[in-house]
Amino acid sequence: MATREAGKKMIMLKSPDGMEFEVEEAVAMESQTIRKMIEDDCADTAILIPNINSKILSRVIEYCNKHVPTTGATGAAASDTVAPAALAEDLKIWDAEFIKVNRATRFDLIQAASYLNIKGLLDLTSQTTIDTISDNSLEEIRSFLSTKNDYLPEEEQTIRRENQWAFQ
Amino acid sequence: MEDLPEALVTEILNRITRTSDLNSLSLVSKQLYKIEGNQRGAIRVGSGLCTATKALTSLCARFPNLRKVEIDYSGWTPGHGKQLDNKGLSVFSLSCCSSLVDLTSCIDDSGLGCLANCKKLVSLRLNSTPQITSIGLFSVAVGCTSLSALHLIGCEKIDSVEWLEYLGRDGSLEELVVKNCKGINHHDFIKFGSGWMKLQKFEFEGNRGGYDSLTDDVVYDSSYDAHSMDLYDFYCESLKDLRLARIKTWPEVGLRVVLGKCKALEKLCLEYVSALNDNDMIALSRSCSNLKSISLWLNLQHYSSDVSYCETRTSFTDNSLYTLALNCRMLQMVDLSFTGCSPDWPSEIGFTQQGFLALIQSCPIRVLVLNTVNFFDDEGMKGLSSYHIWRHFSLYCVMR
Repeated sequence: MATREAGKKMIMLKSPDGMEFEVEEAVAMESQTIRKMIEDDCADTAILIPNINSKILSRVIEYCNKHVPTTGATGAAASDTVAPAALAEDLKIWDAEFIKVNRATRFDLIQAASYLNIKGLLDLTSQTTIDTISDNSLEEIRSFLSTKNDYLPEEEQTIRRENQWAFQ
Repeated sequence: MEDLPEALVTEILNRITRTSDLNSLSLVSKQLYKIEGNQRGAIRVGSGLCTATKALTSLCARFPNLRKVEIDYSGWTPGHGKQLDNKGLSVFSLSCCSSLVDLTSCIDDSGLGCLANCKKLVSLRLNSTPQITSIGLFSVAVGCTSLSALHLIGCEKIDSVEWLEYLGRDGSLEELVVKNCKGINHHDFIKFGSGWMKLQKFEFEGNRGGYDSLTDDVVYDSSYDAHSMDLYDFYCESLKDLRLARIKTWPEVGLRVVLGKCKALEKLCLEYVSALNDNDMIALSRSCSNLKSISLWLNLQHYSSDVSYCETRTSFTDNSLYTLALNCRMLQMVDLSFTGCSPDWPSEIGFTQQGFLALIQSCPIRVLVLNTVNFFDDEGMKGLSSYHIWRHFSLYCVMR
């Protein structure tokens, strides 16, 4: 992790299970929800993030930390030394590694990304979910989504027939 | 996915673009079936569509928020069963979808009568529906009060144009496209009257054939000015995109007057419009300073300004290029095509290299398409490159 430079404003994020995370303001502002709070001066001491436990919140912060230098103004120093394309490629590999989590964690991350309004993270987590849908059989999709089949066989047949007409 | 809130599931589903993925999701569980059905905005139904009313009803119930239904029967054979007919259309119109694209040949006026109940219909495209007549179209004009785009392609039986008059007076049409409809003549559109004020895109294409070569002996007056008197009392203030193809503007002037009535025009296409002359281009360029794109596809015609002399050439001369150069300083795209002109007779093309380079010099041209440009030689190419290579990096030039 990069060493903190003096003068950088820090923000305290609190999870409902009592953990506190000190992060740079720029990192926290990757979340549009937190950005709004800061801009509205609601972030004097610590920001309580409801519904997101410390385990998930720490992962979200990890994601924001990784992604802040390429988008924010603070990235100038980093991108001076590395070509932007290589940097993007590096991020992609990092993202792919980051999202190798179990289904429950991924859904928690989707919810967190949605609540905190972090577009990049929401895109990443949703796309991963969508990819599992494209690449797998019905049964596999059901187990991925941990959804039970609540169709009667004849209901399923009817939908299969309808699906043949409605193409785009 | 049951542990995710429905709004979030909807958001994830919104990212899915492949219909096959959406279809397999609908099979996963009833909850997903419902969410997916609610968010589907467009469907395309094809030859496999079973037109039993019951089946269509269930399709409409499954996708209650459809904004666009495209009906595509390409590749249809009798083995596929019946095509969508009037009864099916009435089911669709009850589901109140707002856009219907490409209705099929089985639809006739009574089908359109059902559509007239569909107040939300915004856009309608009728493609090769030979049974539809003006009566059916009139009921759509009266009933579908939200209609803003209408395309008629190859509808041969539509003739009288009360529907057009009605739409002009009370409608809110912004886009009107009529192609290959035998019964509709270009001067009928004068009856559209005040409707022209709201129109943003207009396209009229006459029947195909007969425009590649010099077919008749009519001699047009090269000094006739169709815009000197205000023949018709309407304006096209909002018109941005105009295309006229394969029409004769003599002896009836018809749509030719539109060229002098536009103010906001950005894109103009004239393809084989007979009897036009420089006065049309002068009238147009004087009021259309925003013109960005112009396509002129020209063929040989006879022109004369006095009885003793007649010449055979394409419609416009350098005067047109000069007036464009002077007045249309935003011009970025120029497409010139000359049909039937012989390389041995460069004067058959009304333009010269000098006039052409004057136009290129004065406008920020980025795309240039030239087809059979016999007046253009190496000298002209040099002129072109000296003006352009340095000024506009993205100049794109096609020559055939």
